[in-house]
Amino acid sequence: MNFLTMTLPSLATLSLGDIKIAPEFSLASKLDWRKVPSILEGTYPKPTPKAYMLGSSATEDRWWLRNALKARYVTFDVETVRLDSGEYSGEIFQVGMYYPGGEPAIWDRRDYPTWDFISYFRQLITVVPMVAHNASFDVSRLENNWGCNVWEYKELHDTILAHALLYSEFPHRLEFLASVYSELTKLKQLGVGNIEYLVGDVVSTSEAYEAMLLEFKSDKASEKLYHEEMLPLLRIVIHFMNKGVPVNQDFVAECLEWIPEQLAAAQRIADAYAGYPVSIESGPQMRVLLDSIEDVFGAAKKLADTPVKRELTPAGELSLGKETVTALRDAFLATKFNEQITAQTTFERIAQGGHPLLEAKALWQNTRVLLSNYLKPLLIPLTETEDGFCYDGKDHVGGGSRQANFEEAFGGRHGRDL
Amino acid sequence: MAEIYNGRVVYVGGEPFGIAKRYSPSIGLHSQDTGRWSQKDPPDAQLPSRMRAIKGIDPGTAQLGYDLSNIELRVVATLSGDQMFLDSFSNGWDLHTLNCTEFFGMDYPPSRIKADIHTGAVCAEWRKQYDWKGEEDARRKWGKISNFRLLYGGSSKTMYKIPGTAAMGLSREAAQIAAERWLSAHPALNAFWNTVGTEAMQRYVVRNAYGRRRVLTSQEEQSRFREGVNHPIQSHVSDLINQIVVKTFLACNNCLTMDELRRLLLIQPSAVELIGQMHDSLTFAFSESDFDRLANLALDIAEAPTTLQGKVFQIPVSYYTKGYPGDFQRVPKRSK
Repeated sequence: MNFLTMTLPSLATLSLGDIKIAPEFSLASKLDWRKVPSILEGTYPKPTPKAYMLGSSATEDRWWLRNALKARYVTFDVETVRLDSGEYSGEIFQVGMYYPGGEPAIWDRRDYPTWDFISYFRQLITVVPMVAHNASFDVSRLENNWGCNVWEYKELHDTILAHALLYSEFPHRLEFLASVYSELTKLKQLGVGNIEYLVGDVVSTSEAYEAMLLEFKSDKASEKLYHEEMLPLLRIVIHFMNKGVPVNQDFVAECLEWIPEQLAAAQRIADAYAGYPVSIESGPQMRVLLDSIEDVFGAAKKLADTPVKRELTPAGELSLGKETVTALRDAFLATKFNEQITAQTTFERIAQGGHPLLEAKALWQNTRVLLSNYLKPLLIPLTETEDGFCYDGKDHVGGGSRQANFEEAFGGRHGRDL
Repeated sequence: MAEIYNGRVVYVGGEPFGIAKRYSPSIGLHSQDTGRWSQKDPPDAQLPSRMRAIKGIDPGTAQLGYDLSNIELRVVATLSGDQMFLDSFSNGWDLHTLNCTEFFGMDYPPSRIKADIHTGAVCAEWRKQYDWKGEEDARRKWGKISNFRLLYGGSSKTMYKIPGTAAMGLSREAAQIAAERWLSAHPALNAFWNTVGTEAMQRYVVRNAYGRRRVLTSQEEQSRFREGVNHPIQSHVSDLINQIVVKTFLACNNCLTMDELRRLLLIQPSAVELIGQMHDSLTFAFSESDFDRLANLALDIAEAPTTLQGKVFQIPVSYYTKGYPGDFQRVPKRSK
């Protein structure tokens, strides 16, 4: 099976059957299926162009780099070491580039001196309009690694923004754009090497960009918004993301004192009500307790004039998400507008007739959101050594770059079924 | 793990962690159909009020935050021409209380000014008659939430789902009747919804006043109708905020074009930094030494009139400063 997927071209984004599962892909798939005649004629898909690897020959290098400096624009894509790969995480190891009429080129740090390429790349971005798909990612990585500031780019274009303006409801992944605008064979499923994939990306980005420029010609309003609003904003937002926001460390430290206490309070309420240790964060355990044992849905039906709907998760299990829990709590004891859930309000509600387990669950859910969404991203994992605490030297966090893993530190009792 | 950490150490579950000095939320300008920003790590746009202090202040700077007051309702008022909405905004009336009276079939208060309604002597009798609890009255809050739900294409039949409905003693039927009563008091809004929604439903495309389009992909007519009504309002706010951010960066750096700004920021730091964007609010940081001037400039930009539907469209802002040791004075812009 692996042999087949690696050698046969993938002609459609999804099978017709999959459209039912992923309806947002129906347009891409329909367009793909419209290509069937060209497939039968042998004119579609086109093979991925061969890439020139910088560093192969000094003469060829000079030729490619010089021509790129005269190009109408250059598409680029940056490949970095996975963000959770320790010491080298986030480091750039390859850059793919392509300009119309030329051949794609790849810079690989193993083949071409990094400092020479950085010096060239910084020259390139100041003279040639650069086009990327989701430019904020690539530009941020280039700034973090090589110091290429967002303001250095003569022009910075982004196919993801152009596509979002033209078709806001469609997916904006390059895979989707390629299926609509590109004639290249689809690479995602083929298990091809990184180089081929990178080449596919920069060429597809160019094809999508050209196609959307044409669409802009017939939609001047979108074109105006793209140039006058979104592109200026893109630079400012990248600037903002790179600069970051100062953290009020005292406040974070304070939160880290009361939030674990609040989580522990929720856990204690659940334990006390159940009469034995339970895991308040465990979906299966809470389903058993609240649904099978307590029958809170049945009780809510009797108490409220409107029964709480039994929503199912995508996996087909009973959902005990925030909305459902709120609706159930509301049935036992009416909730207030914009209520703030704290340990104190939870105890008060229980005293007034709120269901203890539902109140504990709500307290846990709300506190957990504060912890996961707002505090966790700000924590830096440390290792204690003889010399003191060690870290990776980065005290500016964000952009999904790295997150402390303290699931265990917060003592979840997950995984056990009742 | 190469460097010694000299910062603050906190213990969580016995494990040591450092606290970052800065954070960068990841921002997607493309993710939301309405053009609104999508933010994560952390999701700044949903930052709960009790966590807002998480953002610090850089030394030597102070921050200006402001909220574009009732911007969505102002867009709706202008687009639909609903007289009560327009009058409320032009006369400074308390729209949410007036809406509330319509939801619950109450008489309008004798004065429509917020302070009069909630605490003034002129409305004392009215407050007594309706057992009015002031600005925090549950009916007013319910009306406010219902108002937004209906504005974005929500059905009167689902108003009972608003948390707190049962606490007010409102049954499912009563909530529906209240919503229908309010709708019948706003024929201009209904006409706007019907025109825009029906056109979007039939043509599969809708645009806002800036020309931002939304190609509607849903096969369900009701969904296209709802999104068709939603788009001209929500995306208008997105575009307005985007343009305010760009204009603020240009003006505070004394630049006329982005190319000028680009060249300037290559050689010197920006005079303004974005600190956050949340719902309808923006926060910027300026150097303390030039704070008064730049903050006034930023507020002028936010409040500058634009045009919407051929009419002058202006949004007052409510602002606050953070970390500014001086006494910030808003200098009203002289009208020409």
